[in-house]
Amino acid sequence: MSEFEYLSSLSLGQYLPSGSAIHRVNPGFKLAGYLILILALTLSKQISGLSTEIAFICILLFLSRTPIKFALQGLRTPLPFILLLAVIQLFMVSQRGGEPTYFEWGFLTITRSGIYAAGLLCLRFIGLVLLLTLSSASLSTLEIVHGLDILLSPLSWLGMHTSPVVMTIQIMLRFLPSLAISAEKIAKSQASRGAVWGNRKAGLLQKARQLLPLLVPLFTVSLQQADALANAMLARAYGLRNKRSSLIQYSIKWTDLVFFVLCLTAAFLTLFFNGLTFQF
Amino acid sequence: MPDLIKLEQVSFTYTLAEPENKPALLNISFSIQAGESIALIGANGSGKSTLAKLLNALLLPDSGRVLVSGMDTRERSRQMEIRSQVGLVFQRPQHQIVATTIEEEVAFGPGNLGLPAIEVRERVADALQRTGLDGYRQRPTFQLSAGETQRLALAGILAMQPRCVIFDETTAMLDPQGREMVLRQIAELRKQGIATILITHLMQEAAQAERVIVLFKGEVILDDSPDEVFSGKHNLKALGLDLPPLVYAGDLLRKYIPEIPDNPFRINDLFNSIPKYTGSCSHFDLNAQNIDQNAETCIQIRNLAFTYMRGSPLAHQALKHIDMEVGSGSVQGLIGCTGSGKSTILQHINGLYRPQSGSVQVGEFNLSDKTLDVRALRRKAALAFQQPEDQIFEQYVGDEIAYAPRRLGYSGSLAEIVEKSMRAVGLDFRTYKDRLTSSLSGGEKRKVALASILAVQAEIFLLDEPLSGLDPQAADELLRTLKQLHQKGRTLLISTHQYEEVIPLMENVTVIQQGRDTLHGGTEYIFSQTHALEQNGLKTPLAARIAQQLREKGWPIREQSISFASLEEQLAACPGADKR
Repeated sequence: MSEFEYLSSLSLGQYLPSGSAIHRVNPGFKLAGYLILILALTLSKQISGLSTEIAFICILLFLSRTPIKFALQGLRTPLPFILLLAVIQLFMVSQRGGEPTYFEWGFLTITRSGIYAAGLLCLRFIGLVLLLTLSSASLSTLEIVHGLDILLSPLSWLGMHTSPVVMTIQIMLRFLPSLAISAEKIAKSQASRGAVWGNRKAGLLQKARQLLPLLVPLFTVSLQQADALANAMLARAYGLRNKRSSLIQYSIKWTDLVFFVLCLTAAFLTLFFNGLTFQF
Repeated sequence: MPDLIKLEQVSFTYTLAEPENKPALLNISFSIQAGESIALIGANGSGKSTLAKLLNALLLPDSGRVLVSGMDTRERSRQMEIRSQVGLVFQRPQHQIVATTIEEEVAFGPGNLGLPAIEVRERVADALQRTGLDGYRQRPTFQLSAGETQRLALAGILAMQPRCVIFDETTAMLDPQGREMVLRQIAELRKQGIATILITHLMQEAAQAERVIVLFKGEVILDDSPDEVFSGKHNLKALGLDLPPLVYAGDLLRKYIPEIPDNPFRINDLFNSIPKYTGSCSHFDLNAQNIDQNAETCIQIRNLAFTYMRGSPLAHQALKHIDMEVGSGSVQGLIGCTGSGKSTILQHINGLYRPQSGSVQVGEFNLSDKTLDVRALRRKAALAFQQPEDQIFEQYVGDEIAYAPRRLGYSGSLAEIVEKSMRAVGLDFRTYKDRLTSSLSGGEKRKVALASILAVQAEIFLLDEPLSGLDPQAADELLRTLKQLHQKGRTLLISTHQYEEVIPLMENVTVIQQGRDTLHGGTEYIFSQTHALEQNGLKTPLAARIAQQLREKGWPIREQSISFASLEEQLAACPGADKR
């Protein structure tokens, strides 16, 4: 891969349109289900609960026809960091009263709570990576927008205008690739005039300094683009009505409810299931 | 029938942008009927875009009234109706896209009108079908080609069911095929009874309209049929405009062929009026001229192939098989449609990409060499990008131009290099060196960008679409600078789709189509290959097409006549041409 292909390193995840049952779930329910699962993963303090959720995510991955290999690829890059953090947890979690110490060397001790904390951390990260792969594979950018629109719509009963928020997110999603393309152009033009790009040996400070001249023209170009887009939107009668109508109208099917209830159950188990107590 | 659009004594002044508060438009009055086709022309800054925005209620007049189907644009409750009746397509279609998929993009306008979902769907289907995009509903918008994006922008407007569509310099950034597509779209809209207003710098396009409105410094100077506007009675040069090339060609030919009509606005009018030759001259052809084999080559590309984002789902093969050579000290053109791979080739020569297969040799540098000194290569072969004014990043003009020599090394004094480079593009060193780059006009920025490439002091200059978006005067200046570089023995490789202007400069040409090199040869040879050029999706220069017509009617014109100068010379030299 070339050092200048920013678009390909833009890892917003990869949408895999397999048309599975998961893909067909109403985007509002899907988005809400995933958000609840993420919340549960982040807050859970139970190893057994986290394991349950990972198992649940794996089932969803299977149902959505996402290749497991593809999901595991996403794990590969962050794995060393996860392990490093786990090792730090392992040694650094302070001893609780009356706990047995399994290993002691200088200030480094391994205690039961250390092992537990390290295990929690590993599971949490693995679960998050798998869940993010699942959500990006089964939610297109368009569905994210529609999903948000559906989720936020109750707010409009309170008299709040939610569609500008959703529109902003939609434009942001649409602008990310073009921002990457602009950045690529500017970086190339600087490199061709002698700037050092893609130098692996460059220190952190040097790398930051290389970025600075990239940001200035990127801002200018983005502002120009934003201005042009605003004009184009206004010219197509945007903002003259409070309520826009949309192309696709989603109905609520019983499968949507099943999916959502399953997600809720999984989240509940993740937070409160403590069936297996670990004995050391 | 009431007027579709009516302007009554409209004046408009930008309060923020213009410090002296010069009005952008002054006392404009005219009206537009349903189904009319209008061209709006005028030099840069004459107020064309401002006028377009007034018609669509994006701007409101300071004084006077704009009425669309009898509705005043100042009545806010009517603006939605006005904006759906008067659609605006802007210059860079890729900056007008709101949504992430084609279908959603087209649904944006009808959605804003609050139409029921079923009608939105019907309108989307109809607009996609009319623009030939119905097969691509779910495609992500950022993956579209320039031509497809242009069609999408129009589809988004058509879904609003407008009665008038304004194309605001839509053709400026497109290649000849893209421009023709827009003109076809306009003709199609006309058939459907939709009024069109084309804002353009190209007089040939303006001549196709039923009516031409000329703006100069915010005022309507002329409002008449193209016959009248381009009749030669009006001094268009003083208004920053010119005659259409066909009218120019007609005037030239008429000196020798009196049958040529006064204002040939369509190429067939001109062709049909050429009579059969009855004189006694016979023509002689030069031998097919090819690249001078004896010249030393400084760029050699063999078997080059390249795929963007190789190994990802977005992989796209830009180059399939390229073989080409550039002679030392020559000027070579690289021509082909948008997306044919021209830019990718130039970026290989500059070392921004390395060959994935095949080889690129630039002087002593082999691009496949792992230990290649990229900076030395870039000092030898400097690359000027497309629209380089978007890539200016230093705060001061002087620093911007000194950027490359500072990093790539230089001989002599830095200040002198900067001064020389600025002089070469017509910028005064003292006036400009401490100017803020952000305060420059578009034309000045383009000059600074070019000077910053000249400052590399390279032997080879790679120029990617150097003429795109330049007005005729700025283009002339640039061509003069390039000529000087050539006279100093530099090698120039110019990628362009506006090749008609560069023809006098080019010696050799390579034609690229879909990642393959399809034609090589001397400029005269290549541009007289009418058929082969068309197969490559390119247009033959006007002079060459006229030469071919003349030949077909028996006129003694050499095959490789591609410039008006050469045509005139041959017509004048041939006794009997004017006294048949």
